[in-house]
Amino acid sequence: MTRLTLERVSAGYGKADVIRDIDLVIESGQRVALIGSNGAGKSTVVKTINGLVPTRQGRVVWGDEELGRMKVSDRTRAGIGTVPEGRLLFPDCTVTENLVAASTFGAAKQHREEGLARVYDLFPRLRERAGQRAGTLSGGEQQMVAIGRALMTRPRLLVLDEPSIGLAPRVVSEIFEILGTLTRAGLSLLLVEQNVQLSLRSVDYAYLLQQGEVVLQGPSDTLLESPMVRAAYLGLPA
Amino acid sequence: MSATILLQALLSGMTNGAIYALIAVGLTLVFGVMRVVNFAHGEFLMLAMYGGYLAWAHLGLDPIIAVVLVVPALLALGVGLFETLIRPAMRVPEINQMAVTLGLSLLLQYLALMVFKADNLLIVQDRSTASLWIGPVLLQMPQAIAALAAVLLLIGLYIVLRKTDFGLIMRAVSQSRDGAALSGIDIGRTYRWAMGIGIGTLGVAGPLMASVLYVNPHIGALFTLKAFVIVIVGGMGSFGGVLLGALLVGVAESVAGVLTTASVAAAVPFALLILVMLLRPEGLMPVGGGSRA
Ligand SMILES: Nc1ncnc2c1ncn2[C@@H]1O[C@H](COP(=O)(O)OP(=O)(O)OP(=O)(O)O)[C@@H](O)[C@H]1O
Ligand SMILES: [Mg+2]
Repeated sequence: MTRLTLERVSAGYGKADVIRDIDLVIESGQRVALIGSNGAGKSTVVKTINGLVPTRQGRVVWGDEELGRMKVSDRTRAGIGTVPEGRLLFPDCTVTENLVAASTFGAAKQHREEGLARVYDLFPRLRERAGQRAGTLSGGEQQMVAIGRALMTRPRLLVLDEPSIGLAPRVVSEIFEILGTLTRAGLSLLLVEQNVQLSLRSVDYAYLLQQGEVVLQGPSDTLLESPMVRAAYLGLPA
Repeated sequence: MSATILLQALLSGMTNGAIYALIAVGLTLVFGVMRVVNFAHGEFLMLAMYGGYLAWAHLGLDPIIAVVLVVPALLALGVGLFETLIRPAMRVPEINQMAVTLGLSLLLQYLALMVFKADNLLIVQDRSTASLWIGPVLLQMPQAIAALAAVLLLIGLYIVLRKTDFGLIMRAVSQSRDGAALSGIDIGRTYRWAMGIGIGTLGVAGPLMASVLYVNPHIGALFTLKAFVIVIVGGMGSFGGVLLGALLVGVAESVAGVLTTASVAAAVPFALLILVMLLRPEGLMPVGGGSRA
């Protein structure tokens, strides 16, 4: 069973660090949320996990392996699947091609047909659009392709960076229902969201990020009760 | 001017266009996948032409056979170029990358000048003077062979890009590098192969062209320029755009050649470039309608 640990991780872009001393643990099969407002550094945390941004200090440990300078593609192959901010689909490729492109290695390739069938069972709407160019899909459908693509890599941990952004509530609940199905089957989840209410209701444990630092953490129902979260993020009386 | 002459110009324009497409497709592959502008592309064509010439002059090999030797050599040169110069250059600003490939272009020209001297060399065989009648119009045999090889290779490349995992990986990386990496695609390895194939395709063109055109150390620069016109006219990084751009340039050149003087005809591709840039700056068939994620 594979646990992900961030130990005192700092990272950034220019001179300044954008995130500082982040400690975060996702146990195998656990559902964790990372919440915070715009620019808090949530996506930067995601990128230190998937390798798109190098860590400047601290360690990212996956199972018994320190990821260090491991390539992005190798982290994916090691079982960390990402649904990135902005989706990063292949817009000129068809839906099926987007999915197939995420199964060109090892076990993912061996089980490609199975994987495709599974994604199309989860998202029947995508099956109807299998031959359509991804760039011409609706926002919700594109998000489904992004999730499907991550699933094709056969992840043990799925990291989603704001999957609900820009989507109609009905599509959001559809997607969250499917995430529920996936986690019940044992997949670990790191859910990054600005939609605090929704994400706290879908996870076991949560971290609150402010200006690059974890300022609060705990079981999600505790956070829902927290005066700080209620006032600042849920617009409720503390 | 008779219809036959125009038809003749069209046919030889299309023949040249096919050969241009073969040369430009490697440039567009490298640009599309890696976003690297390789100003030394034509110099690798020049090397491939010398390769074909030497194989014929010293080993007595037919240029069609020489292709089998020159392709792997060029592929290796492409991979070597990536590992030595391009990989480190990808971490620096684009303007520095361009300086690297521009510098390489000059370096290769002067190295060729040292090694091969400035002589104009041509493969001359029995079939060099043979020609093919297609209806009322005539095609030189060496040209016909080069164009046929170009068409076959382009079809092959198209099938690989469309139908194989390898091709899908190339397309995925060209459309979203980070999206591809997150899909488990090894970016460095993809770049290495894109450069290997981008330059390897010149291994087909070179030997066959050495029996069409005189080889000299500066022949590549002309083709780099034309390939750039084609790639920009067609839409940077698009396969269909290269075909269209190459045919346009080839036909425009040769039709202008019969309508006006040779020096005007030589300027036609660049006039075409300026025209397209004014009317449709994204090129005729841009990738993804001009957007890129
Ligand atoms: N590529 C980059 N180069 C420079 N600065 C960046 C880059 N990406 C993000 N930043 C900066 O880092 C900070 C944190 O950005 P990040 O994207 O991690 O925030 P976020 O919590 O994901 O925000 P959002 O909810 O808007 O997605 C911001 O101030 C942002 O401007
Ligand atoms: Mg973000």
